[in-house]
Amino acid sequence: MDYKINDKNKEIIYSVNTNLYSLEVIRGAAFVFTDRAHIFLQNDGKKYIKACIKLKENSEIGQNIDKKLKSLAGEFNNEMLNQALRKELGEQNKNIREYIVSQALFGASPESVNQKPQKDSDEELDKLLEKELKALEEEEKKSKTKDPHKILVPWEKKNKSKSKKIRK
Amino acid sequence: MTKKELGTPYIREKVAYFRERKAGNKMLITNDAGGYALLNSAAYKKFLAGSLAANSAEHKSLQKQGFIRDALDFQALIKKYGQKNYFLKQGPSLHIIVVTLRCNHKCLYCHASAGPENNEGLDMAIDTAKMTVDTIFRTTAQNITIEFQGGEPLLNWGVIKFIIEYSKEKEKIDNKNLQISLVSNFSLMDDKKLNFLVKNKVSLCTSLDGPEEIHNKNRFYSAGNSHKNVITWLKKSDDLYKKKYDICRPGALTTITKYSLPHSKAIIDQYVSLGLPKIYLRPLNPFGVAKKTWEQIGYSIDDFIKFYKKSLNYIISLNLKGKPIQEALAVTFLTKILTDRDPNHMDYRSPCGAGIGQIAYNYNGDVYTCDEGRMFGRIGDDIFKMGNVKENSYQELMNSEVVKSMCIASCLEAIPGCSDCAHKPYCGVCPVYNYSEQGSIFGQMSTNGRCKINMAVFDYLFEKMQNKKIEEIFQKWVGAN
Repeated sequence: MDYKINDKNKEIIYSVNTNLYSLEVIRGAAFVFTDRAHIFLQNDGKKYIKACIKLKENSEIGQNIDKKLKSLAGEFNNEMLNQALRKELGEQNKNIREYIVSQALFGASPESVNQKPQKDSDEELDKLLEKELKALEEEEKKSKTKDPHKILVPWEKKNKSKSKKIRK
Repeated sequence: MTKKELGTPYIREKVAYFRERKAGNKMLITNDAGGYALLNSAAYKKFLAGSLAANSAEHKSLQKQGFIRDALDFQALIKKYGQKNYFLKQGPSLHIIVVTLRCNHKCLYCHASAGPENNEGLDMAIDTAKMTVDTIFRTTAQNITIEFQGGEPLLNWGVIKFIIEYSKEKEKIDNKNLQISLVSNFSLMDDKKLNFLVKNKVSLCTSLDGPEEIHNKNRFYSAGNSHKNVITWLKKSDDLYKKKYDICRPGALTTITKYSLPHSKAIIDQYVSLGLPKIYLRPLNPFGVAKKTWEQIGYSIDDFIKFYKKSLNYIISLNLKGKPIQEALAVTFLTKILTDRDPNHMDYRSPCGAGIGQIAYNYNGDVYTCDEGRMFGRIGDDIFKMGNVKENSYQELMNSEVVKSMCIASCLEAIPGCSDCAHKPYCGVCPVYNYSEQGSIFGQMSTNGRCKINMAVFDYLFEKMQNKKIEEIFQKWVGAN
């Protein structure tokens, strides 16, 4: 890793190859360091990002500032590896995670996950309706007049005589 | 294809999504459904390489927790995720009513920003109380908890009685499940009031900051001995509840100030001597009066973390000797880690409970997303106000911009630093804290004090539970065995 240490400004500057680490990964690593240092990112040609890690004023430096800055740069590099792993895991498992969350939140309620599927309850409802329809039919058969209000007689038959009269 | 690809640090077909963090000598991995595993370095490498023997205990455990990608039990994971996030389907269940802002104590850290005892203009009126209860019962939640807060709520006893009786009626008519609790300093408690509260199964909670010297220093009461009142009525009410119901037994909360830091053992011993089952070691919140008195009573985040670890160690040692005292924050976190349940703690869920899980009603009918948000209203900043029970319908209150904003600001999935954190399935952020400390409800986690405390507590719990005996104690605390 090529780097440049500026003792006076308490900063270490180095270039990150964007073929190895995406901008998303570099930003992710930079965020993790915001409690310890100020991070400045800028373009360094087409393939590189220049990262400047500048210690905060209240940082405990100890005796060797070079050592502290090199250590910080090393940790930054490790964090980029970690961020790359996170990104890849996220992308690779996106569909599975979305499936689980959507099923849990928008599908069945937690209590009903282990219950029988909806199909069963629909079937039960159908059976109940069939039973009630049959009971109604039986009742109808038993009644003396099958169609007391002539509901089953077609409208044309009911109005046959009237319509003929009108035509005349 | 199961072979490791160039540049891919793990076998894609074998490894399901996980977040990771160092936990002592082990690696902690967690997943969306709240499953966790603590792996030593060799096992972690084997897990990533997909080379754990299928019949090994580690593989079986990882498979059960949902970490082995080609052996996921979708039904189990869906069920667990649903149970862990059940609160998302509920409406606001916790309703905090500030029946008065008056108080007879002058606590150094007063989070409630109480007003003077003689200013009766700070009391809730009956008509406001009725409209408040009517609003509460519009909630979509089946279970409702009404919590009386203040000021000192007993200063407005008439309104407390009215709300209890009226809400009990509403419970029957609206077919809801109601629980009522009262947070009081007990200075105005008497037998008549206590009998009424017990009869109506109102659970009681008070503040007890430890032994007399510390308690009275933090909680100044010019008309008497605050500590003595608390002890007297805690014992009396506990006896009465034990006789009557043996449920909703009185509890107490501790607020840790600078004066408390050197006395962790004495504070815990005070709780043990009273037979209290739980102690809640709460850090000082930089809200209300505490913001003004911070120089006098405040401390650094690191100081609190040291205090907490020392206290938890002592509590664990007492448990190992057979004295079953628990620490409340640890119990909340451990319930999330060790069980399939969620305790629905409003401050530790995603999104947080503000507006969608809890609502705070001020004495004048103003409605806030939470009690912490109300405290800002008290100092003239109504950023967390949802509306007023006299002016707005329940629907208008719930549709207010502040509720939506709080929801977005506390959704861990969208917070840098939280979305990838190994503790994400168990944690939660507080937008009010962020606003107070970092100037925006969207906090910056890498420099956030509350995040630092939560991280330290989680790290310590995961470190401690690697000891079998301690793990057994933790399991007992959460009723997991």
